[in-house]
Amino acid sequence: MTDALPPHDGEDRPLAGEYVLGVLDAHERAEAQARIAAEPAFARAVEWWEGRLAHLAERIPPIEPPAAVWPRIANLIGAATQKPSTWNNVRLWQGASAGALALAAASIVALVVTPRPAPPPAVAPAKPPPAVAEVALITDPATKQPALVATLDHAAGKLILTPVSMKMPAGREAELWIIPEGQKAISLGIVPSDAPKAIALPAGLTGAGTYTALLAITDEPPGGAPTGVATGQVRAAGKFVAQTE
Amino acid sequence: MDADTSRALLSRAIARVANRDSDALKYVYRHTSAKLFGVCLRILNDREEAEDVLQDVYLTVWNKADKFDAEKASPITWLVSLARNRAIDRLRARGARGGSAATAGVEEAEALPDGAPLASTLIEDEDDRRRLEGCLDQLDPKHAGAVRTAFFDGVTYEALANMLSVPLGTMKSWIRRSLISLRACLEA
Repeated sequence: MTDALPPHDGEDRPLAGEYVLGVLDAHERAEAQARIAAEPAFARAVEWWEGRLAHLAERIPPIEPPAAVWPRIANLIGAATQKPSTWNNVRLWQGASAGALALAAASIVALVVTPRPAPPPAVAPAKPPPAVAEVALITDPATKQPALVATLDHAAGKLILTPVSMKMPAGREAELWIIPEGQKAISLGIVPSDAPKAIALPAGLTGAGTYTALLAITDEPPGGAPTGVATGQVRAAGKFVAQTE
Repeated sequence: MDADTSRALLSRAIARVANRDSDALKYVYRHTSAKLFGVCLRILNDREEAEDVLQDVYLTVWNKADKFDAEKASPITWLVSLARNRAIDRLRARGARGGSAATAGVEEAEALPDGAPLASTLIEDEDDRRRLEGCLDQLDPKHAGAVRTAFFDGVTYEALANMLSVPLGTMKSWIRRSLISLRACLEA
């Protein structure tokens, strides 16, 4: 490296400023992001630079994004006016391979064996008891194609993951995250793209809070995000829908 | 509406997003998405990728709104930083896959028309902005130009050196010295 300054000159290298400016390569960026998570002093230095350099963005002209972007976001956060039932969601599976689709459908059918009681009255004195199983369709936000079907089985304490159509960039693996409402993302590990997998529910995710949890898949380096914090792009996301039929 | 009011409204909306208020997220989106899309598009030069990142940014706002501290940062600074970081991460991921579209089409991006500026929401503290400009003006114009290009395009030292036809070591030295000078100037 033909570097005019020594590579590890500590205080002389304004690493937080370099990070915020955006000149670090992928490897150095990942290191800096790990330090932000681990070192409050470094995180404060980054915030300081962000507060100063962000003013440069005023020179960048605003450009109206396409009208389709907001509805996608609203859908992903569950703000859509009509909450589709699980079976309506099945229509979204069109385009998935027949085998994977059958597998995914079978895993849901197996869970919808007991008719659920009628929905509680509008002013319920207490929360209804949790459903036996819940299903989340984890869909690619761009194509709306399901990447993965996750079925949450409270009775068995398992999360059953059935890949439908999971496309990852070369050299990247799919890591699944659960984001309980108002909490940080918790890694559920790497998921295979070609075979179903059942995993134990992490402690603390067995209660009713899981109804509102968001599941998301990011692409990560082989073996998963090194620091336990997602580093890749969100490739698919979806929420649980309680089985009420 | 003056800048302080719109900033306060935006901060309050983000606080409501932390309470899972989707209308509040819609407010934040309506008032900031054109700015953030401009920022992402400038870095990525690809509308589809910029849309992806924009969506990801607002999902992050939805999930991490509680991390925003109105005492410590302005809402637009927080949002712009979030958008730049996501866009730069995406640009680096693209580089790792062997693509090198990073610097292509810069002129094209600059020629894009302005969207609705929504200036009232986006006006930063004018004193802070002038101060940064004043400190940048004290740098060697070539160095200041490199700092601006680095910020706008989110490119690595290496790409920046290629773009501006300067040896890599020289570029690192320019940027590092500029940042150290800027820090001293802005803290003065």
